[in-house]
This record gives sequence, structure tokens and C-alpha cells, in this order.
Amino acid sequence: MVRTNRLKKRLLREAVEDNLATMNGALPKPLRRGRRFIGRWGSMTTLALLALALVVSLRVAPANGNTAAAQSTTVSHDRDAAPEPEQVSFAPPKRLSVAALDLGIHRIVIDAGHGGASLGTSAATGLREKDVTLDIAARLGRRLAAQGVTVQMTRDADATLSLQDRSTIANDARGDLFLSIHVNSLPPHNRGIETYFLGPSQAPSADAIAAEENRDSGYSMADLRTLVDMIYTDARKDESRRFAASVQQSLLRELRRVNPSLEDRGVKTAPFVVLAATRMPAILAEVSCLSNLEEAALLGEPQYRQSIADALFNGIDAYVHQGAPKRHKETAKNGS
Amino acid sequence: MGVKEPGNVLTVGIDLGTSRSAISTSAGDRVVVDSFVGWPADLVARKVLKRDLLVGKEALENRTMLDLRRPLERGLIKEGSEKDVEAVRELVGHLLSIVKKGKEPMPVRAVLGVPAAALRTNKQFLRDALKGLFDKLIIVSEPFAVAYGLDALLHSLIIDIGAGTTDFCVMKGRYPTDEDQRTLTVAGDSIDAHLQQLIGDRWPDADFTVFMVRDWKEKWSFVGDAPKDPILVTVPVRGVPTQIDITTEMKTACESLVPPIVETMFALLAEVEPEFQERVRRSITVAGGGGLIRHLGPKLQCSLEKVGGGVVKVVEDPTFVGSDGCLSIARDAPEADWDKLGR
Repeated sequence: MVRTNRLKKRLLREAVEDNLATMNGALPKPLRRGRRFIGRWGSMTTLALLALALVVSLRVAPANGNTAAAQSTTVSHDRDAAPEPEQVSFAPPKRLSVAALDLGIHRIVIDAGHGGASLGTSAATGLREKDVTLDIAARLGRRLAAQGVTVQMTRDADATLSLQDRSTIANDARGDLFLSIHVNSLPPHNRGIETYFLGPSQAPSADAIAAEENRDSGYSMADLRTLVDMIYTDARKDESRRFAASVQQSLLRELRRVNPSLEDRGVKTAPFVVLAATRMPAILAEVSCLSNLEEAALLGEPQYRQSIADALFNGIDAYVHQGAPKRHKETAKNGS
Repeated sequence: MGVKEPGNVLTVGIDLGTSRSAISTSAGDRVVVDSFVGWPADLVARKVLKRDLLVGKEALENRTMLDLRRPLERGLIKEGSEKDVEAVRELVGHLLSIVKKGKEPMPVRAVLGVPAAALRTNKQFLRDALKGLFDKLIIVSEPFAVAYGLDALLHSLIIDIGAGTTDFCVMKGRYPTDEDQRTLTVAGDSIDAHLQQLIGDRWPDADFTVFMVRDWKEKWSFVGDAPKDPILVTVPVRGVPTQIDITTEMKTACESLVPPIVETMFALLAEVEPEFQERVRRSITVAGGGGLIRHLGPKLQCSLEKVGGGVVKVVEDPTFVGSDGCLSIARDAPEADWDKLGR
């Protein structure tokens, strides 16, 4: 009994520490023993520095007024009064290669969702998400490589990878685009495909809380989210959205030929950590639905998986080529 | 553990589930609601319903007029939209309002148990969404709460079969880490989907909804030997109420859960240090709604024979085992820890 009580006490302390870590800005991931939260998040270091620096800039915003006003004041301060660059210890978020996206995209990171101990969802037939995503990723990789694109796979075997491993691979490879492939599991009678990109927090309460905490306690996870959202008002958010839309359209167009009842579940935003931690335009595509028996049966066929890979390839291709003219115009206008 | 609870505080444990959410309180209240939140779809619906928001069974019953949300689809707040944040908040707020009814206003401390997948990815998001509802809040993974409530904190395996996910957690006398936990999306919802599909395939003209399928599953789910009496349900077939026998379909759908659970259970057991493997095998607990599937415990226990045998217990009260575990955590947490958590 004494031993149980001692054990409970220790576990309670660990649970509370875990919660405190979240409140104090650790990324939402369970504690691993013997390691520190933030220290492990190597790939987020740059963003964290950006966030910290922006917290400092937020502090100069008026203390009264609502969050939106405070934020817009800060933005306006940044733009109009041109903050002295020497006081800001970071470079602004790097815009994508604006010279021409069709020339600028050389390296594409393909992330086969799950793997190893992480099985993902499973079909009643026993087909597992981790195997399906790996197969589709390999097929897509081969198609891209055949076009002279450098392909970086986050995994090319049945291996366990954490989300930060995946984003670190993508960032270290200096990928120009990041595509994470997943397969959905949906409530009965639902099926279809959906594509996600990282978007701003859409909870006004969270924005207000973030601004309050910026003033009172400095850097926290809530700050980081809000600030990252602000960062994403730069090129990456628009590019990720456009990339997601292009892939979603292509998947729908191509797969409806063989699967006419496929549902369009749309392009959505979500706080996927793997999308937050990558530095290039990044999307997560739910390319099919294993909980639907018909789609699970189709996914069991190599030809259908090839169709998905082809559709993803065409989506990437369309994104790259749609982007070029617009970028050329911008470049010309900017005189750069 | 003998921590004295302050008298002027309401302490609650909440199990925020994909299908049902339950609350247990220090005042002795226990309430469960379906995890559905709905807003009238248009002006006409609002006029008919005379409400701006419906929660739980009421939302389900009026679903045709609602923008119906299930906040934790697949055990995750997936869409990250304002409506989903609101849905979580409304659901938890609704539970809280029921247990606070008729009581003097007082501070509320809560321990919230969520599916392990949500804890991994949505912890901060949840904390933001619930800001202001509680004075102090601790969020833990549901299997940990179950283990805590059952005193199964060392050399045990919890299998929490919910609607959206099946969570596994090996308790090694420490706060569970990634390596100690697994999540499968094969769970109650996937049984419903499978059963619906199988019945639809056999009786293409039968008219039924997933909600009806869910009710049937909750009444008659089983694995292994079929019950003595066939499972007969009445559904409209081309408008005519017709009795159909769904015994075979029920067995097939429910048994689809077994192979992935067994595979994952073996994988986790294999990762336990060899000298403790037998102890863990002999202390496996099935919690969550999936524990109500007849013969599931014995079926899983049989599968352990291949690896030297083991004991699988099914919790007696799957509805409240999670919220009771959360309440135990809340009651045991020392004042100093609550103080650290601030407001």
C-alpha cells in the first residue's frame, strides 16, 4: 500500500510536470524520460527564435485594446515605422524562390505516413495505412525522379519515425515542397479525400490568450502558434494552400475516373505538428479512406495505388506550373 | 492517498470520449452524455428547436436539423476549425453545468482524460479551448486515468477500446511515454462501419442508419460463439417493416477488431523487459465501450496462449472507469501541484 501510494505520488508529479510543460510552451507531445521538451525540438529552433523576437515586438504594442488591434498595431509598426534591423536578431521568413516556381522546385520531400510501430488505420481486410502510404510514396517518388526531381523520402521502409524526425529530414534536405501521405478512417458511409495545410488558429479566444501571455509571461506555446500564424501570412501559407488545392483537385479529377462516388472533403487547415515544423510549403493529403470497404478493396489493388501516385504527381506538377506566371509578374513588378 | 480535499471546491474527473463523455464529481454525481454537439442548421431549424445549441442525445435525436459535430473524430480534434473548438467547449461546459446545477457557485478543479492520440497532438489546443471553464485543469491520457483508478500502475497493460480509437498503454510505474502507448483507429466506429456495410450488402433494399447500427451493436455485439437466439432486428425494406437476422454480420464486424488488437498487444508485450513480460501478460485490462463486446476478454486471453498465457480482465463499469480514474487523480493531486497549475 505504501509502495502504491509512493508510486501514485510520483506519477501524479510527472502528470503535473507534463501539464506545466505544455502551459509553459513545450510543444504538444508527451514527455520522454530523460530528455527535455524544447531541447528535442531541434527543427523548431528557428521558429522559436522568430517567435521570441516577435514576442518582444508585441510587447511594444499598446496594452489596451483587443488582440486583433494589438496585433495589427504591431504589424503596422513593423511595416510603417520600419523597425531597426539591427535590433531584430533574425531574418524575416524567407520567401519562396520567387524567380520562378517551375525552376525553383528541385527537391520534393515525400512523407509516407506512419510506419513501424505506428500502424495508422487498418481496414477490415487487414490492409494497414502504414503499408499503403509507403507503397504510394514509393510510386510517386519514382515518377518524380524520372522527371529529374530530387526526391527525399522520410522513410523507404517499414520504420518508426517521430513527427520531428520527419520534419528534420525535410528541413535538413532543404526540400522545396513537403507532401505527407495518409489514408483516412471516417464514420460509416463517409469516404473521400481531403488535403490539409497548416493554418492559423481559428479560435478567437486562443488569440486573446496569446496576446495576454505575450505581455505577461513572454514566450509560450500559445505565443508560438499565434506568431507562427503571423509568419504564415507570408508566402508559405499561401503557397501551402495553393499546393493543397492543386493536389486535392488532381486527386479528385483523376480518381473519380475509376472511383466515381469519391467524395470531395475539401481543402482544410489543421494544427498538424509535422506541417508546423517543416519550413517549406507543406501539405498532408488523406488520399483515400480505409474504413470504407469499397475504397479499402480498391487500395488493395496496385493499379489504384498507382492512380493515386499519378494524381499526386499531376497535382504537384500543376502547382509548380500554375505558380510560375504569377511569380514572374511579381518579380517583374518588384524589379528584382 | 489521503490528500485532504478543500471543502469549498468542486473536484471533477472527465472522460472526454469520441462517442460518450462522462463526468464524476467529488459530490458523488456521475453523468454521461453522447459526445455530439449541434447548432441549428438554419433559421427554420432554430425556430422549430427554439434553441441555439443542443448537446448529447438531444443533438443526436434532432440531427436532421443541426450542424452536428462530434468533437473528437478519430480521437483527435482534427479540423482545427472554430466550430470544433466550440464543440469541445460546449460539450465539456454542458457536462459541467449538469453537475453544478443546484449547487452554490464554487471553484472547479478538473482532471480531463482524453484519447492518447489527442493528448499527443491536441493538448495545447484543448487547454486553449477549455480556458475559463475550470479554475485548475490537468489533462492526462485516458488509459493512464484508467490505470490510475484501478491501481494498475506497474507491470500492467490497459486496452481502452473507445469509439474512435483503441488506446494501448503499458504501465511501467512511470508516466506513460510514446514508447509505452499505441493507438489504433480500429475501434467502435469501425465496427459500426463494417456492420453497416455487411448488412447493406446482404439486404440492399433495407433502409437503416449508422445510428441504428450503433444501437444494435451496443445491444448484441459479440465475438466467438454465437448467442443461442439469433439477432433479429426490424428495418424498413422498401418501406415495409421487415425482420432480418444479422447474427453473422455482427460476428464478422465485431471480430474484425480482434486481429489488430492482438497484433498490437503482442508488439507491446514484446517490448517489455523480459523478466516482467509474464507479469504484464497476467495483468491486462480491457476498458472503454469495447469491453461490452461479449466474450472479447476470453477471446483475447485465448490469443495469449501462444505466448505463454495471460489474464485479461474487462472492467465492470466501462462507462465511468475513465472519469472515476480522473477523479482519483484530481483528489490525490497535492494542493501544491494544483497551485502550480494556476488559473
